[in-house]
Amino acid sequence: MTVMLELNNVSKSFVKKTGQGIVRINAVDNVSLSVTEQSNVGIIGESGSGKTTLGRIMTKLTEPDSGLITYRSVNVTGKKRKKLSEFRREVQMIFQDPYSSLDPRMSVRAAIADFMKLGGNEPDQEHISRYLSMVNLDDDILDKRPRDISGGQRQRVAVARVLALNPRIIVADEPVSALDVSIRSQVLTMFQDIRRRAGITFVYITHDISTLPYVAEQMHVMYRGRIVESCDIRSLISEPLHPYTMGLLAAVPDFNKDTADISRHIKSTSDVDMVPEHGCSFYYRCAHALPVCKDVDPPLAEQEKGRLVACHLYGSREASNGEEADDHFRNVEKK
Amino acid sequence: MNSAPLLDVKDLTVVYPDGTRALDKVSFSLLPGEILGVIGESGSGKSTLGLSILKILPEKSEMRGTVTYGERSILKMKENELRDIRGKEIGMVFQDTLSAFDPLVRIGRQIVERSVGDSSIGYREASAKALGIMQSLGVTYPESRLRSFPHELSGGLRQRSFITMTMFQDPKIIIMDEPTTALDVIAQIQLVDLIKTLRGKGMSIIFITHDIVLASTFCDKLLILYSGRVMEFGRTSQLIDAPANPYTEGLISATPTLSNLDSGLRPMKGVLPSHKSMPAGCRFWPRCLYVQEICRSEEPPMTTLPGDRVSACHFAQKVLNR
Repeated sequence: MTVMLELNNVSKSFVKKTGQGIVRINAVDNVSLSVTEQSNVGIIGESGSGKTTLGRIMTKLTEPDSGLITYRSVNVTGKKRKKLSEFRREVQMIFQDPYSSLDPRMSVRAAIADFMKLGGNEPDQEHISRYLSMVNLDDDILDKRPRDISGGQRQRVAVARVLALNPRIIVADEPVSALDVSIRSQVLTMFQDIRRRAGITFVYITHDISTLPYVAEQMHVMYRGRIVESCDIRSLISEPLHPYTMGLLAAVPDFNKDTADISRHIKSTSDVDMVPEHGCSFYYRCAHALPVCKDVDPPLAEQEKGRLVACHLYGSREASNGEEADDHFRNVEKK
Repeated sequence: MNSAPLLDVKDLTVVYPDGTRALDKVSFSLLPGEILGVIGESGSGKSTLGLSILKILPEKSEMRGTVTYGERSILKMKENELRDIRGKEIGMVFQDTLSAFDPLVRIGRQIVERSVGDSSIGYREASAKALGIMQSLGVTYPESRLRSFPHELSGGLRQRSFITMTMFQDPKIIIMDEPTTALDVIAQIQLVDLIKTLRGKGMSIIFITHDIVLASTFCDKLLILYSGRVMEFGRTSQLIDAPANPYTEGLISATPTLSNLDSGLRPMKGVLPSHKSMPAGCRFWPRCLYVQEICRSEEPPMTTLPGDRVSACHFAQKVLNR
């Protein structure tokens, strides 16, 4: 498995003016991750976690303040997307809102043809039909404009258009959350198909964990601009490590399940913006916080192969602090 | 429970001035202290349903049928009588709380001003009451929140403030229109806890949503709408465990959850009908897995099933027994 795209310690901050003065917000804070061929990545986070900014950095729509971006072993940091002909064709992004991502004056045919030209191919009917069939649309939609088709169809057209560029990686930012429930799973299965048929690697960015197992394998949980846990999807669901991940999972509604009690993991505070000066940014919301968490920011460290977590409860396994965490959770269970 | 319904809606039909039939013969009832989940996708008429209970539809909309609150018929009321119902008896929480508040007036003032305007309660007394409600909703630093402007609060806090405003007048029923769509999973769970607290205080709630799995975790009953018609109505556990309508069944199996991972996604085929091209007969037939000849021509009647539930399907009993 080859590494396609690699981010190394990338950071991006924005300046926000508030009533209290100017605040610097670290939207993405020292994030490293890699996208391996044929292993779809899921990025989970609440609003404000920096997940969209991270997606924009991966596609080079936003330039990070610091850090390194490598695409197929070539350093692409600091280079304009315009200047990177290979990168800008092969790494694509699709957005949440299919209503504003299509040109309202362009027919479906024109939208796809346009992208084929961008990819250096002469548009022809046969190829256009083929891209449409990949997203399960019929040719009778070809001469329609965005306003004449439904939200689900628009999102499919947005995907078909991107496929016309023969991309290697598609970063999808909340691709189904604007769609109706009965349409969502159609679009999700379409993603599964495309991946199988076209060999494209997807990066899904979402706050909705329940859709991820169907489309992605390698998970990263983001909190306030940082990755707090990384692992494969099965481990994430069966044995989450970070208290924030535990809370997120417990909060996912399910049939025949009462409303979850997430207070075991995440304290109910409306002051979610409070962060200790030096410690873990999750400290004030964490139901498992230790004294050390207020003063020392936990690094993202490997717990076992392929599992990273930024939490003091796990300390370092060698120093047998791991058992401390086990004890801690045992006590929590008892309570 | 044998108590009389607090709200009784019978054959409610709403036609907008442009001819769109948003609701078609919708019937249901709401008991005191009950949470009703109204489930629907876009174009199902779920928002129209909330608005028509308070009769706040666009002018020249046509309304037929009856909406009975206690003993009174809401659809026959004049504007001045409705003023005593809206807010005071039946409150409403809107999806977009940022645009529902006046951006230039502090939250606290907006919460109390209407009540101070037309009752004997004084400003100081009113502020104390607002503070108490905010505290009971689990808002930290309620004093400073009341002094804030709407844009200064986070989505979750603004929503709690709006709920405070709604609760301030002690309504018997609160209608919530898609209150969770703008919220994160965690804020969503906190809102659900809050709704359960309100029920504990004897309030009835109509929770309008597209999210059947979320509704199934706390609603007592579910009303499933499709293209302006009721597909199924009954107790939540009945509908989820054994749906008697193919649409309910489809919605449940098309919803990705963590517990049905192994069975994979089972998407519903087709698209939602638009008001311009409504199919004849049952509105769901073009997407129905069990469609028969009769479904294409005849509108299915409401079938009453054991356990006080109804389903609009020619084969409701068969679907249920499967």
